[in-house]
Amino acid sequence: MAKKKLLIIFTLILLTGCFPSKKILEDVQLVSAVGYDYKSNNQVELNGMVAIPQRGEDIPPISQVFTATTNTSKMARALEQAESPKPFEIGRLEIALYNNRLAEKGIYDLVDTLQRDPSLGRDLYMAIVNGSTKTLLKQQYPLSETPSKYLLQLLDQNMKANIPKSNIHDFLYRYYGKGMDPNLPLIEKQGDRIRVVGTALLKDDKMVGQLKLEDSFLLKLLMEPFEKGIYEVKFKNNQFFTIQNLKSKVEYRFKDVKRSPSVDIFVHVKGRVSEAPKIPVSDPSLIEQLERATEIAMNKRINKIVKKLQKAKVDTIGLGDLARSRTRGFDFKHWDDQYPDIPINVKVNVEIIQAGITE
Amino acid sequence: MSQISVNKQISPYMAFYMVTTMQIGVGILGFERYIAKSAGHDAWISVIIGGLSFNVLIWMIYRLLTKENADIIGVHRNLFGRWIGGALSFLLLIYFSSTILTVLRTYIEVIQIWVFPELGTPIISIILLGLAYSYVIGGIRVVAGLSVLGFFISLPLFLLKYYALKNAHYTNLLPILDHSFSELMAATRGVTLDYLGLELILLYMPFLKQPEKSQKWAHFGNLFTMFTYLITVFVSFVYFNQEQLQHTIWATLTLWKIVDLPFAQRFEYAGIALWLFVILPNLCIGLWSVSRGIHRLYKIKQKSALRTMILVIFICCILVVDRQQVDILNTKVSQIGFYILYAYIPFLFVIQLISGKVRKTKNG
Amino acid sequence: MIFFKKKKKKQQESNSVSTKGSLTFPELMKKLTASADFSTVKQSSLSTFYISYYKTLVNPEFVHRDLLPYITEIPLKNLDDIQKHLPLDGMVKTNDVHDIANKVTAGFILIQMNKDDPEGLLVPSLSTENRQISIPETEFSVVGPKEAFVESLDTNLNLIRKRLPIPEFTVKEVRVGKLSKTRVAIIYIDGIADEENVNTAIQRVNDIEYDHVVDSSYINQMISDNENSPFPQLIDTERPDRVASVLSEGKVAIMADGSPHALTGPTTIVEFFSAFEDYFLNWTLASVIRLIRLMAVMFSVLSSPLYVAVLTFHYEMIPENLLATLVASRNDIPFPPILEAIVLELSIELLREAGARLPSKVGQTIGIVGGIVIGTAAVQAGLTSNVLLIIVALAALASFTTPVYQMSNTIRLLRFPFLLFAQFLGLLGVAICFAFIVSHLLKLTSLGRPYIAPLYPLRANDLKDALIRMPFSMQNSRPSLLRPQDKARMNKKRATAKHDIED
Repeated sequence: MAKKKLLIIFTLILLTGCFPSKKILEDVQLVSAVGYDYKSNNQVELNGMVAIPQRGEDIPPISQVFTATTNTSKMARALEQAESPKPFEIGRLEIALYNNRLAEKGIYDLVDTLQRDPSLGRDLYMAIVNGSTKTLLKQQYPLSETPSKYLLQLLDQNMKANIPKSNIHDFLYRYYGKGMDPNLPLIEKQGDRIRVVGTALLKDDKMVGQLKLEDSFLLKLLMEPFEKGIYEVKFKNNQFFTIQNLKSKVEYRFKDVKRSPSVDIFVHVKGRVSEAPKIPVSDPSLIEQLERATEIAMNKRINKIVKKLQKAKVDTIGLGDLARSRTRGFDFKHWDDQYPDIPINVKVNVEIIQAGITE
Repeated sequence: MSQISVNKQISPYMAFYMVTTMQIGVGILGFERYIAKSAGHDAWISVIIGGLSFNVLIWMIYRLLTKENADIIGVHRNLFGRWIGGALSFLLLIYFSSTILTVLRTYIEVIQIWVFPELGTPIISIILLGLAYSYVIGGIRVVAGLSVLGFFISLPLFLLKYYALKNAHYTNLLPILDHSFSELMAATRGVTLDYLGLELILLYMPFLKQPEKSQKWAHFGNLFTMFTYLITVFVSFVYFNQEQLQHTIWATLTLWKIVDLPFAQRFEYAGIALWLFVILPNLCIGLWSVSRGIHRLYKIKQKSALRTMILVIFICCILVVDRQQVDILNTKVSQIGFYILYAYIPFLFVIQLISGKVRKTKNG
Repeated sequence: MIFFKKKKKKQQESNSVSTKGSLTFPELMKKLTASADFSTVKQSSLSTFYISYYKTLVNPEFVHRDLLPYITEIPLKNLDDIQKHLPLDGMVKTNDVHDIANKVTAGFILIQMNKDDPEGLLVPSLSTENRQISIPETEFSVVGPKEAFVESLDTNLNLIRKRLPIPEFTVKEVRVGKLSKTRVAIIYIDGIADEENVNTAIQRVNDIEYDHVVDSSYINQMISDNENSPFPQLIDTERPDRVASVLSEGKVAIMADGSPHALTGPTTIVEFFSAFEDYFLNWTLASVIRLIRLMAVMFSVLSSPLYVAVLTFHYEMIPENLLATLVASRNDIPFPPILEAIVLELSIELLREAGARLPSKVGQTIGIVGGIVIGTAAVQAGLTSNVLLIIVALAALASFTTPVYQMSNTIRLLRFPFLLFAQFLGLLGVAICFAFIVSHLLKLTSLGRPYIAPLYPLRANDLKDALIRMPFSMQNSRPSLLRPQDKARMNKKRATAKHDIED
């Protein structure tokens, strides 16, 4: 019996070599943001931003950027290893940035390496940068400790209000899914600030167009119900007011999908006039006028956006998928062929419910 | 067969836990992809059809065993005599052992892919088999206790589906019934593989008190499994679209990634660890049943049978090296399981009916 | 597995007294008089007789006040005369040398007519020094009775019996220990307690084979179903009210003379986490407190292993907002998380052990010095991270919420295997270790009854007083685990009768 026990213990000791290797928190370099820049036709420049904690608890971490050039992103990480004192771990990656030139060539290969890695989360934010991601990541921003934290909060905040929601899961959902195309936030470095300038429209994994920030808000109205966001409307001669979205809803109606389809989109916005200098908003009849004015302004703009999407053959709204869910035996090829010419009518219905706390 | 003394038997309601814990194993972590391949977003209908067909099988198994008042080994002996019956039982035990091996190896594979890529197969299989041994040695009561506890420990994992439902696209499930009958049946065949595990009842049924009551619980157990699969499929279908699902090998594990609790995020690491309590009942009920079967068949002490079994499974486990082999193992074993349940059990059922009639006419 | 193998049943041997072989009366007297405190007095007023006793066991005052006055005044011919005239009971007339030896050493007075006559009358007159009944120390409760057991079995039985003034309250007495011959009482309520449980308890106590049994905790270890288990299998309590209450549930209590504790069983694991005070509070409060206590136990066992597992293997799991804090506090630490955790856990154990061994006033100081001074110094010196310090201190605190002392020791020790598993296999290791413990618990029994009932075997009816405590009106049946002969505690209909608004 004692011999048996000894034997068991002995084999266990022999096998301890097979235990997994450790990744102790402070012994690894956590990459919190990566940026890919266009280098040449088959090469990308990969910039990994790490936040290096400082001694003492009150001192914020400083950020460093490691750069390497390669044709696949895994290789690049191996290259970076040469400069770094600690091994890289990408499990805490929060942001992936893609240079706009790169995005025009297609980014799927780069995203694919990220989605294959089991240590990565699915709430990773992706964005397309006008300009170099390296300079964007290298800059120290007074608004936040590290660029990655800044970007994270910036995108998070904007996706609630101005731009369509998009993280790596949404990107892949729309990339793989038939009858829809992905979109990504478009950002730009402006001095020591980063600014969300709009939405990049992608066809498969290639950027084919972009929308301004105001238009992104309207696109968001078309895509999903949400509860925030501000839109500025011109009212009569040089009078402006802004309307704040309290609750928006969107409805789609499809007609005759199988032969010559047409789509009606109804957007319902419940809003509040948040700023209206020189407009007496307490007047009920005026409220109605404001509503009509907003509707007209939004309608005009939204229909322009939809035309733009159709012209670029991108289905960012996901109308194809919506049509499929309402049609038995749906034919994607037929739909895709017809998509640029389908009559799509958007009707915005605005309801103003409150007008501030003073009369 | 020799009657089992009452204090060795377990309550009839245990059938519920033992059936569902045996059915739900590693498969549920990534079965959506396979069933969606043929029936797309309508595959949930196949889940229901598959589940209901298993209720018929449970009824058959109970009829088969209660008529002879024996386990499958006794039934084989009564119907086919000592030698042929023994050989059939032996083949069946080999199948059961290979299901244990499959469950163990697939779980280790999941651990190696998702958590510890460098983890050696020998060490983790020794630990898991040792763990299973420590339960099985305590007898059926301890094994049944484990399946009750495993059931309740893994039950809260349902709540995690909430995070996926926050980002759900419910239109993915529409239009309902957009697939042909043959597509649905193909998916149903795929689904049945996930209901396997129930057939072990062939061996442990005599240990359940009051078979007529335990049959009811076994049906409930199977229905609970069906319900679990339905929820899983439903959530995965509204979170992923069909094309994306085909690229996602472990849909449920991927869903856990988005869980973001205030004290922990990336729940898949905790989830895989907790999944141990789903896997262990599988291993333990399997090991118990097979060692019991060997004991009944060859008059070897159950303890020695268990030890030999563990050794054999351990060696086989090391021999399966890479992902392809794990895949092959999974498909082969589940194919055999499919034929055992849908062909062999009805065959036995018919044989028993006939031999029962023959016996009656002889006696009458 | 090999860890918790059940020991084979002890060989049954008769529990006879130490005096083996034949002993003649003169030999006995020689042995007895060898002790300085043994005295033999010759009385020769009207008639002559001899009185022998241990001065240290018998109160001399008793001899002079309650014994001698009755028999010196009257002419006596033989021992029967003495027996007739003494107003005492429990006297034995015998010429069995072994009996005499046993009784005299237990505090009887030996009266003989003739010094060498082996026949003698034994008069019980044990006087023992008793501690005053004091308030419970380890199971203190703010509300409720404040009596605790003392070291005398008779006093203790009195404390219980006055709470259960019924004839069914039964005490079976057994003597245990070759040298100590400790009186051990097995207490139960006839007609409620299951006979099998009672017999198991009596048989196990009878089977004890040891030279001296000093305390009930000896018995606890000797009669437990699995000696190697770190989990206590009988509840050890110092509260007579708790004993009275569990007796009425149908349990069996075991008490030893000289021990201020009673053992009650069969027990289940949930009972170790219910304080008796739970029954003094409203059921909603009691249930919440009980749940908090259970969470404290989980926290106490799992917190530092989880810390080690997450920091060593799963950095991905750390919540966003905590990451910076953790990295900053870990940055300067020279040790890996496992070493840090073990060192801190051990130093907390050190503090506790030092505090327990010292007089209470010094002990408090040690606690404060250790906790505050060493803790802050260790953090400032960069030896441990303050996050872990908080975790370990809270875990230690949480372990003390367990009302039963033995269990709280078990819980504190339990985290060390968890730490080891966490170090090698991360979260999976924690789960594996938990599974090993579950396997042990599933196999464990208390007086032959499953230890983790009512969780398994699942008895929904017994859950009313397990993880939460339901109101008294729902506690209408005794736990079915105990197989009580009388299941009903009260008339349920009357207890739950609904009244109309103005009734």
